[in-house]
Amino acid sequence: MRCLERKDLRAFLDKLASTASLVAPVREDGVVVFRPVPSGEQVELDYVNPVRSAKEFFFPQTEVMFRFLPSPMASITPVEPDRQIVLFGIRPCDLAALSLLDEVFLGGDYRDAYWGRRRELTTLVGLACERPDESSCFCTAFGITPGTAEGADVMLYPAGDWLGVEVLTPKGQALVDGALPGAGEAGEAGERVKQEYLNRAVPLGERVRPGELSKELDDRFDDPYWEEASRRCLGCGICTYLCPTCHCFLVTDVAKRDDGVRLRCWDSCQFKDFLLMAGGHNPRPTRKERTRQRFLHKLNYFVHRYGRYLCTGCGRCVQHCPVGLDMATVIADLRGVTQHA
Amino acid sequence: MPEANPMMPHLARIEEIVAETASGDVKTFRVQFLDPEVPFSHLPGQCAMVSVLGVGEAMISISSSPTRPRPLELAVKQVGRLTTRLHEMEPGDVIGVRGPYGNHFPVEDMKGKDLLFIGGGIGLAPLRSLINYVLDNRGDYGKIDIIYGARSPGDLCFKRELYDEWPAAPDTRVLLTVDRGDEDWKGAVALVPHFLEQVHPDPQGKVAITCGPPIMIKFTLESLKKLGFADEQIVTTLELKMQCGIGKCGRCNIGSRYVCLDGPVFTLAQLKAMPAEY
Repeated sequence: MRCLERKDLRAFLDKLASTASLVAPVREDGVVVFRPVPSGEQVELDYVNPVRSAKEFFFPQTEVMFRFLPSPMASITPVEPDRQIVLFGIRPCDLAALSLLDEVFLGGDYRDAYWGRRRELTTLVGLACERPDESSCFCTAFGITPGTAEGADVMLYPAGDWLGVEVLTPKGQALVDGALPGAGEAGEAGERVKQEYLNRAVPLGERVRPGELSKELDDRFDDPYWEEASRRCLGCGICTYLCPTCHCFLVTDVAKRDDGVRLRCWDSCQFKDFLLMAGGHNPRPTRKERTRQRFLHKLNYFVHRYGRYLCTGCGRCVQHCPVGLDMATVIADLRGVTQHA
Repeated sequence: MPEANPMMPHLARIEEIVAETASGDVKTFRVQFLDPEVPFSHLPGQCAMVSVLGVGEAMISISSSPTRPRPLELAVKQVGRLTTRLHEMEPGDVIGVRGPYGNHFPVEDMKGKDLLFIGGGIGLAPLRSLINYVLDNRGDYGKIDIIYGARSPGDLCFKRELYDEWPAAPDTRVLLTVDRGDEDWKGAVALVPHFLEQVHPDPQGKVAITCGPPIMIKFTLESLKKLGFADEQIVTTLELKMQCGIGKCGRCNIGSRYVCLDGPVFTLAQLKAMPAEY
């Protein structure tokens, strides 16, 4: 592991910005979000987690899949992502979310070309969590810790006036070779700092561990809990938009006489027309079915398909759901435990 | 060479459009890929994602048999935005097609068995692919009964096959019914599940394959159970709204199954193991 003096961090970010598009946390209208930045100066370093996850840089909220001319001329022109990005400051929960979405987009018989290309073009610089939020972070429920580097190319472990720099991939090696030539070795101190992050307690995560919940849910499709919980849902969809693992999309065309684009856009299983079919049939007509779909997808259906929970405990739904119908609450309810200390 | 992109449709020209019903609300589109080298070979029961550029995409079952690969035939009922625009198109117009998607009817497991087809309305479209496949491999399968119903005589699809081709095939019966007859109608007047019970097929050595409106399927499954068919002998197809067709968009799941990948063909035994959310 290498060592980066805290005072040299801005210069390191400047170097990153000069070689590729740097995307990093910035403070904007009072909240922290990932944004492209021209230099290290704008980068916010005092944050728990950006309010929106990093998924939009791989799966944009609106993405042009191709351009076309309609019939009878009818032609299709592919559109491919081509921008090299260094994404700085991504937390372990969001890194894990990208790995989960890799399973969806890159796994199975069909490889999603857009997600795949954007992943290839991006170098991920992870940042271990110095102070997870007591009331919303629960990554350890899913086996993630404030120091888990899964999926990162480079992981940074802040340690007072210096940071440990761990290179995890060839892409990460290239980045460090270019931006941190001559950085010293962190030695044993670096390993010690890393271990501290890996062992750091996240109290809410301990309280809402799902345990065998996935298996139990095989028999709880008709549990009255879904009706009860759904009564307070407003159907606003904020949970799905902020969630780093939600990936439902719709496909739509926007066309003028001589030009058109096919778009894919984020969609939400919480919206009532999500599954509404042309003939008027809707298999999930009420909030009950839609609430159940969101939580069973993450806690049961996904586990059946991919062997892992589709949640990384980032806590965005805990912070932003206007009625407290969030993943930590639902796990606590379903398990009959309390989420509050 | 850019990497393969499964969301990219292949352009295909509409060669011919056949109005199937008297009202014209069901039309068969015969299409040819502009690039004849496009790799597209399906099995009965599979679907294609059909683009009307400028409107979007919808999943449509393929009604032609792989034994008669080109032109590809898509029988489409005018229901929503995309199918309305498709119905306005004319021969020579170009659409997009990608696929084929999903699983298929168990054509290998069905070998040596008698086949009972039960269709309603546009639900005959995917069954037609299988019927013609079986007729083109006639020696591999036993007796064939095709029970088919529609609201009225004018709503019956694929009339040439219903009246001429299929009844003329060896060991093949076509049994038609309508909800409401007219002056010329000499056949049965009954809902499909009732008609099925009147026909009273013996389940011995048979596989029943049914497709139609959800309400028809529901009561047909009940009638088949009454007649003594086991869950494993009953095969049906499902449809849900889809956006990608390749298991990414999160739309067409029933529990942990995706209709686009794991369906559209399910046995009743499989359906019973899934939540009833379709």
